Amino acid sequence: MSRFMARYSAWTGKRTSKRKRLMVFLSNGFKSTLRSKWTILALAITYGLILVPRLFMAMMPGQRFNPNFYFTLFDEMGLFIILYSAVVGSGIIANDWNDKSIVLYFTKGLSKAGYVAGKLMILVASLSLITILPLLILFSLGLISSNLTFDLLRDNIWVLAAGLSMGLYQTIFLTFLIAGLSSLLNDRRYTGVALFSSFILSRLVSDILYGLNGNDMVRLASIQDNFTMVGTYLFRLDGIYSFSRYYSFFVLLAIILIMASIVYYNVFIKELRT
Amino acid sequence: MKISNNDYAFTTSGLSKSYGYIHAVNDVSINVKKGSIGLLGPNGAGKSTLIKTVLGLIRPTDGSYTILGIPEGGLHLDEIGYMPEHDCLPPDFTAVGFVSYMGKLCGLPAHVAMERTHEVLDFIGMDEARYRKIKSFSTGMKQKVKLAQALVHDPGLLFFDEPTNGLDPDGRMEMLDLIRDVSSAGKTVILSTHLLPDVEYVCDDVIIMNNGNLILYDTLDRVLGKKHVVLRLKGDRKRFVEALSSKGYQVSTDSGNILVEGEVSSNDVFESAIASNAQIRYFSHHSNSLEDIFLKMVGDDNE
Repeated sequence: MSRFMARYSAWTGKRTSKRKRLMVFLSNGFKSTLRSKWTILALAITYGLILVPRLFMAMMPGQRFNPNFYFTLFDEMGLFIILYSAVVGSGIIANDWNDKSIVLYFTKGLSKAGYVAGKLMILVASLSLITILPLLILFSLGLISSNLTFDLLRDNIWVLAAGLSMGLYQTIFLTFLIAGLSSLLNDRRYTGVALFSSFILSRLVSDILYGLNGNDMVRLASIQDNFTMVGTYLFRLDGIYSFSRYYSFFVLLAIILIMASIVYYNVFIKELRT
Repeated sequence: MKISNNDYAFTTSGLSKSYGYIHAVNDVSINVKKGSIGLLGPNGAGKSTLIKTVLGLIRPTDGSYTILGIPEGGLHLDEIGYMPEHDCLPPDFTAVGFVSYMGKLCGLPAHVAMERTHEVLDFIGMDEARYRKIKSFSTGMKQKVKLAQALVHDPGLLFFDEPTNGLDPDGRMEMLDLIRDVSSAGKTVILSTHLLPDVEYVCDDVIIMNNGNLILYDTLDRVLGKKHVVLRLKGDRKRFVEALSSKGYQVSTDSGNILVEGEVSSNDVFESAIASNAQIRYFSHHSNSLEDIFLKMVGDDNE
């Protein structure tokens, strides 16, 4: 009975700063995400199916800095990004509410604002692996294969900026969508299903409405189509629908704001029931 | 915010918490001194709600509170440990991983958190199981991990909400021993339970709640009343009473019994019996049980 061999001992020492504690929360969440076999599998599938074949294309002179090459990268990755998001993010807040460990976090000096900020940053970091990192890999490869010419870089840096903007916008959108659904549904399976459904159903609704009245404006109901429109704007390509691409930008922004409000309500306003 | 140096673990003033028509905590005003305090009441008395309110986990409907001298909203959680009643452990962590993570969140540097985690897990008596995932743990082991995470950062004030729930008799005694050890290390312990013997075993003071109302807050000694000895004897009762009274005891008679208040030395009793040529036929120590007092008070409140 080791219990009777040890007595309670006190600890004296200097505690770490609030910032350091937030970093602990962040790094722990990020490491847990990366350690999951499902995360690794989702990353491997996406990288294997989409990125690896493009590695060779990225080095070809005609594709190297072609905006359409990067635009189609995002388009092709769409489904995989949603799959990956569902895997890494659906339990991000839901798990804490479901297993009730949220109570422990809030009694451990972690403020609600710190908790939410930490969770959002974990999502941003995790999602960047699939929205921003592939772009950086392909662009770097293109740059290396063109002998790192400064003039070439200067002339094409806007393609990188467009890609980063697209990746960042996707990351922020998905971060808030996941956080909102996760805090609302309190169950990682429901959150995953809701995340998938939001893309598929919105596309389905948009297709049905388009079939009924043939008006391009109904495409605004589809999350995927809105991303496509934003992508064509950022990569300076022709829009595929007749409405202004700003509309798509604002529709996605509105969804971000709604989801942010849901997170705010569920974490800050709603009574903590345990 | 700096913790003010006062004697109170927490204070409440007119504190109320309602869920619709249900008053979980009803106008509770109390100044709870540091020490080991039992928060006693039947299920649904409002004990957990009171704890969660003073910890800032739920908002009071009315009233105010301070904890370690700090008013609502300025809570310095590094000084507080909380062991919740319900299951609250993430299943995919190992015990050692989770406790050290909680330590780091409370401001322990990484290497200290790990060292301290092992100290605390040694203290609670968790051996190799500390490296297993929490989802494989029994209820007793989960209770221990909950205790460890509350202790890892060495807080001065600890709230234990029904810590013996779901434990077998051995596990229960072990848990109470642990809490008593923590209390004897100078920590303030608030033990919320509906089990009277747990309070008697661990605490010096007791708070009794029922239906959200505060019924009583006092030291356990005062609540239980003074101990007394009941004697019966054969011989001259009057001379025996005089002999025992001359030794400084407060002695009274009650039909066939002789009652002696306070702690009584058996030597004094038998010396008095010899001096008065009487024979002791019955000698018994008596005190009120917390159960009797609790049932009476809760019964009065329900009426």
